[in-house]
Amino acid sequence: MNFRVAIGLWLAPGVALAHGGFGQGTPFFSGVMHVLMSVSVLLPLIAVGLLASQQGRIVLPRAQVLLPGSMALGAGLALSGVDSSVLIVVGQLAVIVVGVLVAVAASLHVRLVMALIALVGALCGYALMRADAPDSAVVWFVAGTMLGTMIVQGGAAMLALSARADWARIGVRVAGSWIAAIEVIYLGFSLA
Amino acid sequence: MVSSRYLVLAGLFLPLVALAHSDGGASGTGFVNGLIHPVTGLDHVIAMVAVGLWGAQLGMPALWLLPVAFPMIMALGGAVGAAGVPLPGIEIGIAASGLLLGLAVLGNVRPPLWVAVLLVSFFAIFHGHAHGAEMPGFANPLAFAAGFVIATGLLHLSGIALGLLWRWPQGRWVVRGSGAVIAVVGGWFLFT
Repeated sequence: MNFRVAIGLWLAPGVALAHGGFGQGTPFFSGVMHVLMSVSVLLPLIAVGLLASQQGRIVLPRAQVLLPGSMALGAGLALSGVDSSVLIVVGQLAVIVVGVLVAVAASLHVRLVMALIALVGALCGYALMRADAPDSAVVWFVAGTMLGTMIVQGGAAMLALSARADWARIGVRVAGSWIAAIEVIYLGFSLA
Repeated sequence: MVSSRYLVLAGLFLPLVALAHSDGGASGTGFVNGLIHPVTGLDHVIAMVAVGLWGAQLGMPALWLLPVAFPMIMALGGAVGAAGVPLPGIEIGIAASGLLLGLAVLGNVRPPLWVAVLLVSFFAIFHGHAHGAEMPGFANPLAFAAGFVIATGLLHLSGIALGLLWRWPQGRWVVRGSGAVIAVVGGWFLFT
């Protein structure tokens, strides 16, 4: 029955968002949508979600709090006027590392995973705010990005956690390798 | 087995892409262009299918390890190519990859796993470099990279799907025959 509901949802016509822009609606909604609709934000968050799920149930709830928190911290860094392209590159490198770790299904120390998640979150928040900082109601915008982050990371982690079959676990590792590969190519473009 | 409730959740979170005014030109600069790029060259296609075929023929863990290693190393080559760093003998390397990987499938060659990974990774650099150097400058880099990597993965997957016929005696002839075709096409590219 649920499967039919899923098919129905997929087939249901979506609301055209052309010309809607992220700026329309409330700043909070705009923040959520920035996370959900931007590949540059989605990839790091999915990667972190997959990594957290591979590290077990101790890491997962902590990551669910740490990632949005660190994103807010990074956003604050951008808002305070720090302007550094190096941070963007470091953020891309961090995502590549996370993708590779997912691909090899590395078992890591909890503190190391937390440090990586905090780094990716902070630099992701910094990049997002540096590129698309709203003119007003910044706090609501950042709150929206935090909620969006929790949704994406939590969703990715839950999907990965449910992967008990061998092929599904391999699928998670393949997803990690793809994320790493995409970020490597993107980094090449950025440095070109 | 992924629970159907997660399918429902996935359906809810599917992004609604606005297709208004997309005439192929706008979308063609990003994800779609990246998706199409790897399948526009037969020399690339046969090699990527061969990677999946050979992986399936070798069985676990090569079945997933080769297709995981290939995009990551290919991405490194792509980044180098996008950055404009020259690499000698690219076309020879690409054609040789089709020939040698096809011969490996045809002859049911079973080297140690690390040798297979090393060989596939070596050829991946040439494929990545060629794509990276040819990438259109007007493309949305991240969306392009995402489409590019996903298309590459799907080509591997088609090779794996064909290679799974290896389980049946008649299927082995199909797999080896596919290897022969790939080797002939690779040889044609190499010597003409």
